[in-house]
Amino acid sequence: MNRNKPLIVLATLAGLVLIGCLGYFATKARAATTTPERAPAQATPAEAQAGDAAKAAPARASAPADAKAAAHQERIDRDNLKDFSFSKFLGNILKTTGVYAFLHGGYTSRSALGQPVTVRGWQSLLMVLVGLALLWLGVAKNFEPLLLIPIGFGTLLVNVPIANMGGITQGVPGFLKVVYEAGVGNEFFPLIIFMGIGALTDFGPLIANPKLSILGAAAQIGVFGTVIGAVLLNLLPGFSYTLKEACAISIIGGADGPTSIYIAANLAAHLLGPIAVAAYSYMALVPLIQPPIMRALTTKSERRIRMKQSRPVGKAERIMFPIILTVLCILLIPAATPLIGTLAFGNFIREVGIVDRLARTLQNELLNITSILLSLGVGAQMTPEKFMQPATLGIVVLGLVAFSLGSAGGILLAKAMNLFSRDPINPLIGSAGVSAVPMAARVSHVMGQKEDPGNYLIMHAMAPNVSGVIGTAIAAGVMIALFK
Amino acid sequence: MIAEMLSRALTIIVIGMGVVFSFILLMSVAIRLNARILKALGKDKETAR
Repeated sequence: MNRNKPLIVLATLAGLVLIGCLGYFATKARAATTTPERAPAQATPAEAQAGDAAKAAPARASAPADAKAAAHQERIDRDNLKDFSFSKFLGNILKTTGVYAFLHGGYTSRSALGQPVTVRGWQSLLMVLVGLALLWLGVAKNFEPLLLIPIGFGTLLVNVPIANMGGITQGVPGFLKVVYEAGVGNEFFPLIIFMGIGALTDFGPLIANPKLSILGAAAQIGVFGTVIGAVLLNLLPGFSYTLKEACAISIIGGADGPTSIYIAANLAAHLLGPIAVAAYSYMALVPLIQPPIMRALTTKSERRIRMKQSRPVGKAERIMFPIILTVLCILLIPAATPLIGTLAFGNFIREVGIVDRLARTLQNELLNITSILLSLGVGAQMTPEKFMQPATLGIVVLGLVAFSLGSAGGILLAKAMNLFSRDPINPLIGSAGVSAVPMAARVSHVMGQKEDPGNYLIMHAMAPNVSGVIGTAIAAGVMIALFK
Repeated sequence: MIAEMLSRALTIIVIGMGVVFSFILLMSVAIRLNARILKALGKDKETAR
């Protein structure tokens, strides 16, 4: 049996090829025979005009009814496959394969500027490869797998031809379209994620040493500084970012995925896919991007600085913190309240201690379900007309600039604070001011331990790290307020 | 055109960073104030879970 296996496979393949060829020739032959048959039935224009004139009066009276009946009959004929034939069926099957669609297919869509764009099949195929690359990064390289795997699969699915999962077919939205409309486009899912982050975050290190929160503010220079970078990029051919788009891109510097998606959906929805992918990719690359910057901006002796142990934080202080945060936000920057308010709500549920069931739901089920849907929705935006643009290249470059500037900003302010502070601050914790919780804090700790294995910086670094989350949310609020 | 955009971008940086720093500084002050009030009320002894 095993010996015959290749023969059976070959015979099957040969059969399939033969059927295909037969179908092709049958279609050709049918086309050739039907054309002359139709010809005699066609009247000359003059005959047709005369005939039409004779029939005009009664036809006018019954025209709507006839048209309706004809349309009805046509629909029934179509549903019953009246002109069914083997060759046509095979031809249809061939034309609805992915291979045919990738090679010959295409569709018309709208560009970011609202102009019609023709997308070729090969462009969709390239996007499928991008989706596979994202899956590889998530699975093989362990780059934010919880997010890049659903984003990668979303990218893969949205670019499948004919299925139209990210569009509308005969008035019915596809699966990914529903996911996007349900919570990404209207900024709902990022806020649910913020509730989960709040329920997971321990603000204790920040409450114990509030002066370190300034480092989280300094890191926002990466966000705002990149706006200038985006404007300067307009000097190059092919780039034409508006200030709104520049703001949406620069938020990548905050290294906060949900905030990036929230702002992108708010200010430049057409750039949402590349912005989210760039933000999550750079967050995954924190251990590679930050150490060279940290080494370049600090001396060996600065990296060895041991910080004073923080005081213990009471329960009442922890419970009061989210309330204080929300009240301040409401009074000063209400535009940031959706982000700060949901973060504070999640944290309040965590700290209040009497609704553990809710806290657990926020930390686990709700966060996980929303992460899946949010990432799939982001993947749904990774289509050729949105991704294969010079703007995407700019986003990748500007994201890196924003991230590096943010890291440098925190380190430099920590050095400046050391000039005035009674208790020395290890400047390595400054780079944790970009959000990326807790990876950025962990990188500071590891860098510190390389110089002095007995130096434990993790809890100190968590203060600017969680402050960075708040800082980025405030920066986002400023940008929203700017364009209101 | 670019020069105009650059001047606007600079304004965004100055105002944006100003707002972020002010907010974080105020938050820092509020945290300290809250700690003092709780200490004065004797509610600071209770430790977290």
